[in-house]
Amino acid sequence: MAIITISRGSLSGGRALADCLSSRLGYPSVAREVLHEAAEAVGASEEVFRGKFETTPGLWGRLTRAREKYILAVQTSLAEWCTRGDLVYHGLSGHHLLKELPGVLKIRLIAPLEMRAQALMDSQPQLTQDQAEAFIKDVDQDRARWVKVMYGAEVTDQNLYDLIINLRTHTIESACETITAAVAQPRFQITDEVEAEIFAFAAECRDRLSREKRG
Amino acid sequence: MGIITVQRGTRSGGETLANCLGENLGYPVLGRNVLNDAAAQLGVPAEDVGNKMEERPGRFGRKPLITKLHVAAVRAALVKHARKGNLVYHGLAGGLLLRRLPGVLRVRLIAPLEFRIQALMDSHGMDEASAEAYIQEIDGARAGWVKSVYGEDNTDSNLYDMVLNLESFSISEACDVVFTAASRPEFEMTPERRKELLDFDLECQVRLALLEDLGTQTLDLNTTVKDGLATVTGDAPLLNKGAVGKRIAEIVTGVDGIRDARLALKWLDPSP
Repeated sequence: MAIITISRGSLSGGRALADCLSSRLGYPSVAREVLHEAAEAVGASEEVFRGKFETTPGLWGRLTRAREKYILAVQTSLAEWCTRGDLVYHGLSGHHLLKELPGVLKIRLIAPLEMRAQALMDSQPQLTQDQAEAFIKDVDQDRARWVKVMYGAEVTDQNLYDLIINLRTHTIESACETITAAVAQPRFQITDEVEAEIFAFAAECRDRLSREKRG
Repeated sequence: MGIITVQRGTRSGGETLANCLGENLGYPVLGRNVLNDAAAQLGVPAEDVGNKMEERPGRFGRKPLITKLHVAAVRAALVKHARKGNLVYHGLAGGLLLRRLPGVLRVRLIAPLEFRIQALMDSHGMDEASAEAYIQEIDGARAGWVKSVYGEDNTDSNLYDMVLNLESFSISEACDVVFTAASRPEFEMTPERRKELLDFDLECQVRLALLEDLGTQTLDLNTTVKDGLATVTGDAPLLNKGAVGKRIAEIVTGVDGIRDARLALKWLDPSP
């Protein structure tokens, strides 16, 4: 019984890894589901919600109250999922959203630019290698800035994660096997104490969100 | 069978992890003792080699050349041990020294500063402030060395196959996790990889021999070896072309295991 978050750049195999872990461990694997429920909780359409939650504020933008509310809604939705037990979360910012919880295994998946560009070209054959690489660099920069604005952190900071795996050498299957060994360690088990903390955390998130909604 | 390198900051538990892996996998474990082999080859004290593997080499004069020579000697010594096909190395710059080799599992261990300070205080009876200052100094020097010699940032995750945070894993748990990764087919010593390893060993020996020789050590040469055939590329002075070429060929073919040498040098006229 455990909770795993997977952070990764776009096209770095995060979904495939989450699916592998989900089928191997029998845990539900979620990402969009969390956003969908968070959007519902604040009465926004998923499209508007994603726009606010996922896009970086402009050059002079900052963390506005509306954005804070959206982060809180996602955190609450994710915390609710955690109260149901085992989970693999491969959406945005799992390691930040759950950083107060003990026993969460925080994974970062990295992959070489060429490999990611190839994955993009496979799905969009009209792109050249240069175009695909430029697109990915752009997305990475945007994401790094988003993390900086939202959490004041560097997305590449190794200290934010428990385990970083490089897909340059690991296949998804091997990464999945290694993470399975990691999550089997006693400190990642959901003990009664950890479960109590998860429920307390979820209740606190709900309270904060309802206060925020009341304005 | 495979090769694992464990890179870490000072007092991050790298040696303990390496010993645990060595025991579980039945692999020999190598650390700073590889410096002794390199020192014996160069005829200098092991301490000198250790210093050259940690001090920034500088940009001018003979210092960069001496660092190059020492790094080449350490790498040649390390690869000689790796020839047997299985090894856990927790000494300096392991992942970088072997980065051309496929199938090597490059592990980086990170640990919170407080954890490392405590380890140093326990082992050396230091006070907290001195321990912290020492760790910061060593970390800074190593980062500077990697930047100068390899042009890389040693905290860049892309340099490693996996990074484990000891805030979340005990050494024995980390050992379990790395053991699982090392047992995967990607890190097996296949017959093809063994051949590449043997060629790489020859490459390292040739590189060292060329750096040890006063007539060739200042030349900007690069050697590749395939099936025992060495190809030397790079720049050499046009003056005395015949003698320089002959000397390079002699050194290269003098390395045990090299079948033949092909020189593909660019001859430069120093005063055109």
